[in-house]
Amino acid sequence: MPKMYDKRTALQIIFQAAEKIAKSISVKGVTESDVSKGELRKIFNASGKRGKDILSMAFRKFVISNVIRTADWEMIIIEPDKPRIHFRILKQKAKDKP
Amino acid sequence: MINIMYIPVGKLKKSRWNPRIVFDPEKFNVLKNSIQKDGIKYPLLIRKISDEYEVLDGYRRLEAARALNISEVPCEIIAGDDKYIAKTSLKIHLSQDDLTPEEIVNMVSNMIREGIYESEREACEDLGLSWRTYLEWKKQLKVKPEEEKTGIPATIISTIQSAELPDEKRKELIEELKEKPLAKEYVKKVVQMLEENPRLSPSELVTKFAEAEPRKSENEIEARGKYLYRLRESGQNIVFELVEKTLVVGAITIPKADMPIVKRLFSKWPT
Repeated sequence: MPKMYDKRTALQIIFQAAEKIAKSISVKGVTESDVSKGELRKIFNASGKRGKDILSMAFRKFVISNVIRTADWEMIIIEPDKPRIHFRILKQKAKDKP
Repeated sequence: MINIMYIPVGKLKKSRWNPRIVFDPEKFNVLKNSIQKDGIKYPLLIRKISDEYEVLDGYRRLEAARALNISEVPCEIIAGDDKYIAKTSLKIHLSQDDLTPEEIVNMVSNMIREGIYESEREACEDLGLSWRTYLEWKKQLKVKPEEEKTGIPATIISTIQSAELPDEKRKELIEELKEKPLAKEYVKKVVQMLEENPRLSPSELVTKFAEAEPRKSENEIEARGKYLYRLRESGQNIVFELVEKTLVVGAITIPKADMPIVKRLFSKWPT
């Protein structure tokens, strides 16, 4: 399991992950969806990277509550360990529209 | 007069106007320890929403209380519309000095979206934030995270960021690793050596470890330590050579079929 030491890195990883999830959801033509570990693995573990594990660690160690909301999206962490989240796009970016 | 009430933890939830998204696990443990010994010294700031209450300030204290199985926590109830509540919450957190720039910029964006502020400039003026600092934070947010910027894995970046090194050494180390990527174990060793001896140069250490990393060409693998160690194929054999400058100072020939035995032998050697 990779290690992570500071909350700012964790937050940057979560924001970066949210961008990727929003893009992946937009492609399907929906604005909200449950995203489970299989899908997260597909999004984050391309070319042997361990993005899913790193995201899971950021959730587990650093996130203060299970709801993260920005002006563009809302993320509800249902299960931080696997992880499983509910993701809702609040404002779609022009480049991400299907 | 401040009215303090004890509210059951089950009735408290985080307010959407509380800007904090992440916390520092070490500081959280310190807080938990302090609460366990002395209780909650400062009441949580909360607002009543129908049957429940939302926590504007003190969510970490609440989480610590939950972790310690404390059933009720002291709270100060304030009232007001969203505009007042959102501004008050952000101002209190800003004064606590440990919000990340991402959390501040994110909350200001949320507040603009919900009509609390008309613009970022208005928010900065009201919060007493320098416009230049705010723009710098926004710029940082638009910049891709370190991993994508540098090509160095996030876990290695994190190891470097958490090291007790001066900023210029950290930057130099990241710059070197962009050119000469190292395995995480080696990065840890480099960081440890730099922490222990501030006179060492990140550039020289990375170069040294990068040379120790095995390099593969068509029929050869080599790595540098005291000697240049080289494995090369020769018919049905593998030749293991020790090279000093350009001179082969030692060589042994191992049948290819025995390589698994030799590998296993080396793997058992205590490091």
